[in-house]
Amino acid sequence: MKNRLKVLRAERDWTQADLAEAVDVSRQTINAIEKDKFDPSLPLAFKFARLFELPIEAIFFVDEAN
Amino acid sequence: MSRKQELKKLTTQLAIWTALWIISTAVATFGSLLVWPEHYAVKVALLLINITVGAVMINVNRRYVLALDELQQKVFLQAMGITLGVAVIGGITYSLADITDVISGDAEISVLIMVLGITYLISMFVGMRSYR
Repeated sequence: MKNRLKVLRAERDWTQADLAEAVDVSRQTINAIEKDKFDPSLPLAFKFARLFELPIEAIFFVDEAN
Repeated sequence: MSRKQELKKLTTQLAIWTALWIISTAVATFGSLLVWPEHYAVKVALLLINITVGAVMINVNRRYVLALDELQQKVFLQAMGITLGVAVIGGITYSLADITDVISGDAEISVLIMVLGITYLISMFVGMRSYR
């Protein structure tokens, strides 16, 4: 699964640590999600959606190429 | 309380209870062998203290794992899976090596515990690195 977390975070000028604190996970977890190495759970995806005020599918999407 | 604060508190608690368990294990072992070898009631009491402290340590560890975030829990689960596998397979092989006299001395539980500790640490390290 791909995501736009890095772009959304950069638009707000937030660090990974800021985002991690906002959704109550570790900075390593944010880094792994941004690098597509780890897919978040549905509750965590909802937290991102609420934080960025976007629908989940605007943040996370399936990589059609794979 | 945020997860970070909760983890910090639980890490401290875990360190304290682990230290207490190690001390109670040492007292139960060496005290019973060297200081009060004839006092059956004292030896039983120390074993009961040891297992009680151990039970608290296990519960604090359980709470610590529950306080981890989902990626940390995944890495922890993988490390525990590998450690459990090593405990069963390695332990039985080690025991067989003793029974069949492949090794000269007796199989010692302390050797197995050391191997498990090292396996767990390496598994956690490799797991965390793989998600960097």
